[in-house]
Amino acid sequence: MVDPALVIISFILNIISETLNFVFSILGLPDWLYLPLFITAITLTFLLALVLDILFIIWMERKVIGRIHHRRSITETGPVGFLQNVADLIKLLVKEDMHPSNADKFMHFASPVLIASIALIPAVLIPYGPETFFMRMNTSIVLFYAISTLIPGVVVLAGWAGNSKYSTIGAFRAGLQLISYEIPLSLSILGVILMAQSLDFYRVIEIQSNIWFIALQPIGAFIFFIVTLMELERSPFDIPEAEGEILVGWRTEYSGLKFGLFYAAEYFKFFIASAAFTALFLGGWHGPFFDSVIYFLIKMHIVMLAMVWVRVTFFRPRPDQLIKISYTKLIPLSILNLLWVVLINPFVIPLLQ
Amino acid sequence: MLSSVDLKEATIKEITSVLGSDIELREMKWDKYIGFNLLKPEKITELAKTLKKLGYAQPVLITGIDRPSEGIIELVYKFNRVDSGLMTWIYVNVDRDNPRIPSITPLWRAAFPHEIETYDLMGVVFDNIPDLRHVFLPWDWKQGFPLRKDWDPNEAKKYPWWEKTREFYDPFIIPSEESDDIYYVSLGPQHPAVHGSFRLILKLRGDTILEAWPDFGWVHRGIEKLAEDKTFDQIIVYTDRLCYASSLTWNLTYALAAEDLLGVEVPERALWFRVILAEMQRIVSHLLWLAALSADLGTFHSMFLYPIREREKFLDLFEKASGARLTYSYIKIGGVGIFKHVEDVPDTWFNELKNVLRDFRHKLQEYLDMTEASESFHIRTKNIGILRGKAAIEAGATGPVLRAAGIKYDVRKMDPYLVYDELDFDIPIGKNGDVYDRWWVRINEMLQSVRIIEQAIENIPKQGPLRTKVPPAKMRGKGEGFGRTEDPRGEAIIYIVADGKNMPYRIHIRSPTYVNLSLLHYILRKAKFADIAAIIGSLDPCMAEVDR
Repeated sequence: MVDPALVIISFILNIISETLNFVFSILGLPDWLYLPLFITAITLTFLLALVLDILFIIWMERKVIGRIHHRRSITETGPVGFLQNVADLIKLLVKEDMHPSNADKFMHFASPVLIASIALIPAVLIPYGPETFFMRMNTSIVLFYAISTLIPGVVVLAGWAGNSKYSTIGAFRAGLQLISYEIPLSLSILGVILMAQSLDFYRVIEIQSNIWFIALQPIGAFIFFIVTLMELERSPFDIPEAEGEILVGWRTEYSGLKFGLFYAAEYFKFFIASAAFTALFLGGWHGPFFDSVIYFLIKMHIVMLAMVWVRVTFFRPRPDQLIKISYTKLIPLSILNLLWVVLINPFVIPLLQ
Repeated sequence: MLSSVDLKEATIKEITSVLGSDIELREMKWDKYIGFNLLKPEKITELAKTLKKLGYAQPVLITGIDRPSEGIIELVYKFNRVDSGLMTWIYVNVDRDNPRIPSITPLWRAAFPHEIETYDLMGVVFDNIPDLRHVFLPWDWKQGFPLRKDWDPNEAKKYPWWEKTREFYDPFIIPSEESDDIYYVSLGPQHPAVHGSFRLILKLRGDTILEAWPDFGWVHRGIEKLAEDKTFDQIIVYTDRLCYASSLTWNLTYALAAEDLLGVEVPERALWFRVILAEMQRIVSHLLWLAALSADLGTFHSMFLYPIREREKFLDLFEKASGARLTYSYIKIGGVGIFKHVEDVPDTWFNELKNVLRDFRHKLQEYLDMTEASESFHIRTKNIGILRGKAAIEAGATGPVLRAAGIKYDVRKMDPYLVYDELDFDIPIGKNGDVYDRWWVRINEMLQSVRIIEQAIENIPKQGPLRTKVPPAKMRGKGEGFGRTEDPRGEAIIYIVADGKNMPYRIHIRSPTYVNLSLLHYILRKAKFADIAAIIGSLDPCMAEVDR
């Protein structure tokens, strides 16, 4: 069966190339400009799709949380409140740009941009479908997590640049969160890498065509899910933000567009982390009848829903309890998972081929 | 256990034998309380020592009454007991121009908030008090003492309010004291953890709190002063504004005090109806507290919205009865207000209440599933903010905070008002006195309130007036009026002194939350920064009530 997503994508690509051809024939541009412009057009299309999806994700999250809270959530702006996020975005755009009097102006300005852009980079490393990916490289998983690890560093800078005690406390909590999630995160990915015998996302998904890794190493998937929540600073692990304790932590002194960029970065991270979970444990694009990017997107949104569900179910642990949970529960469990993978690998690998 | 009469005799005998001619027994309006006139102010520490030896729990109220015509300030001390409703009242006169009296704070920490409040608003200097300063007024206030009768309100305009708000306004912090590992954080006055506006000055090392000083007075409205030129039935409206979360219990406390002063008899049916209202208000207040605590323990908005949902049903019932949803002014002097232009409460209202209560029991189980069944709730609430046993009495805690500490003290049982002595209910008490126990005590109190309301609906007289009509001309009284109730937050007292006019001469409101929040200084020590919100939330602060 033909993958319907491919039909749509080739249709869009056709439109882009036709338009470019038309523009080139009118303006008489040199041929060497064609490729860069084509790539730019594709990237912009992808970004537009990403932004639209993120608007949908925020809407979905608000609606689902509203349902769980027994309230109606957004209803007024646009059909079923869908345009509320656009309205919020416009509100953030027209707000005055402010910074505290003694803040480090350069870092205060730069850190939101840095965080938003760093958060977006890993998106190109994930293969969304068998034919729809930006790049394939042998070590994409390593690069993916190397880039993700940069974010807490910038968060510390952002909190420090706010020149407020609350934002500094929040920033140090972000560092603390980093040291508590980094080890179980690496260990749980290591299980996947050992089983797939590759550091490439594409290969990891390809090998799951018969059976998903969540079935082969459930403990690893569970740990990875929890650790992803910690990495995303989502409730219940929103310790660096901790509204109600340290206001909104490292973001306290940022308003308007700067806050908007942080907010966008949060959802970029949300998107990318769920995509990583889908790729590593849920078999990526594999599904019944045909392999398609559609399955990837569906699985990714289900992972997001699960994260939203967790968000409204638990109380937030204390920073010291977070470290305790991580070092006394998650790390031993992930080592156990690693042992399990080593034990079953000889039997499983022939099946996977 | 000694009976109340024995206790009374023992107290009188002991005190007269220790203090001899420095003290004389005072004729009291109430049989259940003992009154003494202390003739020498400097003997107050000796007296307090004797009372402590006799087993009195805390100085539950200390206040002053300014009498410029006699050139004195009359101080009133009220000591309560944990094992009986007996109270001992001490009256001391101090010179108005140089009001000095030894402090009993070194002996009884519970006296501290009351003493500094009396200093703050009345200008009585307490010797040997550890930290004598203004609480509700600005710390460098030099414009006189507002509760004195000859104070001119225009004096307040002389304080440079506008300049002071701009500068770093702080009585505690010496910034040069900050070092690499010790730093200060000013938590509030605008902060989501403080439920209103008060400030906590925190001295921290790393994530651990070394010391904390609460700083009140950001919403001080001077209700005690305002009430001095309002007639007795006008004051009801002010008592609503004491605490937005439990207006009716404050209405009730004031109504009890005013009825005591004016000698108004309340009809039987109104007594029972007041019990229903007060217990409904307790449930509403605790639900709001539960919601706020859940938000404090990690932005947990599911658990925030569920109690609000149930609260709404009770508010609907209040709206049907009084026409208001938050500030009811419904319990009036002589009974309750008029039910929506009809004199009596219809049966449909009671039936509706029964349905709501039945529903509420199920919903309470839902809360337990979300909190007690969740490990994340236990790790956040257990073993933090511990205050237990005798220390809680010493420090002045009342209400659920004291009961969570393991002390069985409830004004409804000790000193029954309305018809509580005819009702069957238990007092839930905790063991460890941590945040979890306070949560547990309040959850169980809601269940007990449901029990009380169900009994009251059964037993309320089916017919009869709901209100003794008191014409405004008769609302004049001389002497003292005293109302003591178990507010959702602790022991609430309103004490009225009148001189025969249709307005009170002096009215004093004991705010339970004010004393409970003063405990923060002790219970925040060694806590983690992240626990502040949980600990403050567990004390159920209501800042409008603290500042009055």
